[in-house]
Amino acid sequence: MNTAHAISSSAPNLAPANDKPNQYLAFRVGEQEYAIDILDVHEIRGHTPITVLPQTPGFVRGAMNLRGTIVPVYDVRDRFGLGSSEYHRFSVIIIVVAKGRQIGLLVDAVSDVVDLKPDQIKPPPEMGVTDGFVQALGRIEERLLIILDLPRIVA
Amino acid sequence: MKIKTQLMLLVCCFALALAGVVLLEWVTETEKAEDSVYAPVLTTKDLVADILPPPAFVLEAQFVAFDLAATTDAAQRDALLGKWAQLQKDFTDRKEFWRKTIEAGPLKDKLEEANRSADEFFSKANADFIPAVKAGELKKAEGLVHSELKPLFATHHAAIDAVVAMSDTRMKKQFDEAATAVRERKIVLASVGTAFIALALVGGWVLTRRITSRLTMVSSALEAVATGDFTQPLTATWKDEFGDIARSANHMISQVSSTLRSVRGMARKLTMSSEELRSSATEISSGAAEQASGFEETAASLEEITSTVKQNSQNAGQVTSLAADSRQAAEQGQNIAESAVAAMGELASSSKQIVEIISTIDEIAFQTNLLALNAAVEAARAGDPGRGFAVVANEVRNLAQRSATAAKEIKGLIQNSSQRVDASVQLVNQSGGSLRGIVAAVKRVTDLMHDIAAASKEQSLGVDQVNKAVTTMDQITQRNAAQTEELTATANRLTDVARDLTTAIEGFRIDEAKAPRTAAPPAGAPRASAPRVSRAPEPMPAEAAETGFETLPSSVMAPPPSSTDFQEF
Repeated sequence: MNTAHAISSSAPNLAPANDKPNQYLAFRVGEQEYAIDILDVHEIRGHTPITVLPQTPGFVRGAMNLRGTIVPVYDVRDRFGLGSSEYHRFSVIIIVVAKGRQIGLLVDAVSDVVDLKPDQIKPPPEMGVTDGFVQALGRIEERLLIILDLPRIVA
Repeated sequence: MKIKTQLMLLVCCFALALAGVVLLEWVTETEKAEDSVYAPVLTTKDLVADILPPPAFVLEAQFVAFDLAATTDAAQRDALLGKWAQLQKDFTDRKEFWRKTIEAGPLKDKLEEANRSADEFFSKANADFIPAVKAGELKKAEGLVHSELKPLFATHHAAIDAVVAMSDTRMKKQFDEAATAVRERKIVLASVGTAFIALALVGGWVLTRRITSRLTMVSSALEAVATGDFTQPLTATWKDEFGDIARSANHMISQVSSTLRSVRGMARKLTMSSEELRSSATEISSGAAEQASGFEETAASLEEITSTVKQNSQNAGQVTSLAADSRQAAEQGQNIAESAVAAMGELASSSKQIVEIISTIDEIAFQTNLLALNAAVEAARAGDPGRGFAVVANEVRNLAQRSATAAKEIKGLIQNSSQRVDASVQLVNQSGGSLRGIVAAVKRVTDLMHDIAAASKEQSLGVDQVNKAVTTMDQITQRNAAQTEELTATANRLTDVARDLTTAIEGFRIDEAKAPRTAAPPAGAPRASAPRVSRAPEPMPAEAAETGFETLPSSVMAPPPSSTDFQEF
């Protein structure tokens, strides 16, 4: 929705002004690796009990209890329209902060924390989607990371 | 005329002659009293004898009258009256008697006359005299006696005398007649008797001659037959019993001839049949010999079978023991397999435990990783001050990764080992299954062996029975052979008997005119019967009897016109 809407100290969008590499958290959904700015990440949790909420969109798996705080959990795979994820004990929920709220992202696995230099970040190809989830594409040697536009995902 | 009739006549002649003689004797006897010739004489004599007293009755009545006239005694008088009544009664009785007895004629008339006068006497007396007497008028009575009674009595007396005289004459005449009749009778009887005697003598002589001659003829003819000559029949022209004998003898001769013919035929047949019997016996004998050799072969085969069966039993026993060993080994193997399976099961369970531990380690690694990531996040958020922390976090992440990797490797190894264990377990299970299969197969083999053993035993028994049967049949065959020899001997004897029979028959001369006719059927029959006999000896004797008997009626029923011997009346 808001193209320019970013988290407070969010990462560079297209071409950062400085050459300092930014750290991203890479995670996997399905076969593909994605990345989000590490500063957006609040916490990484393992398997936690999810309470299913009625009358919620399909990709909303439910809500979880994070030390007293109720955090909604989004199924990223479902959000991308790739079907529902399995929820097992090796599932990972990435607690991100977006628009001042904490959102849980259910992903298949978390890879690592990566540094991406600006020259490793490329803009996404033109696909006629103006408000897509893909913010940019990162490349580390042979690995291709899809950098996500978090606000759009959690909107 | 039949001999019977002649004999009867002869006997009658003799009887009559005898009767004549007897009659003659009897007639002679009847010269004395009580026959019809002399009866009238005697009757007349009786009459005379009786008459005289009847005048005596009347005479006596006369005397009684005199006495009555004379008597004065009442008692005497009564007695006399009683006597008078009695005399009258007697007179009346006798009068009636003679009235019935004497035949009508002059004598009877005279007697009636006498009786009339007597009746008159009595009635007169009863009318006049007796009342006078009863009245006691003796004088009157006496007078009546003289006046009435006496004359009446005289008349009566004269009549009586006449009757007597007549009777005498009659008697004499009758006597003469009787004598004459007797004499005549005697002559007749004598002559008749003589005639009959002569007739009897002549007839007897004739009859005897006839009988003797005919008997002789019949006897000589039968003698000829006795010598065996059946071709000469008897003369059968006589009409009497000898003719019957002759005809019957002829009949008998013809019957016997036919019988002999048929016997001859039968003797021939008998000879043939006994020959065939002998050949059949020989065949049977050879057949029995073959049978005996066959039995020997069978016995030999049975011995082989017995030994084979024994071997089978032994082999079955060996197999059973081998099977038992196999089963033991299989069971042992099974036990081992089961132990192996158990060990592997334990291995699998310990592997599982390891896997669980590994997964725990995995979790720990995972959580550590998360922790490290979180730390990295915080470090990134912290910026510069968090650099050291970021390094630590990195190291921790490396550690976690190493743990995870190690855990993965171990997991891989465990999986490998697990797979191998599974495979081994499968193999062991398979081998266990195979061993079970072996055990089951061994059990089946054992059962089969038991069956085989039982079957072998039965086989043995069966073979024993067959042996016994063969022995029995062998014995029977031997008995058959012996009996066949006896049969042959009997056939020989039969042949001899047939030969003797033929010889005996040959002694007879039989009318050969019939021989061809009766010879044909027997000659024909043997040809027809020979093939039949070789197939079935039984019908032959009956057939011989048939053809033998069929000649009999033909010869009896149709006497050939060519032969003039049998001329029936």
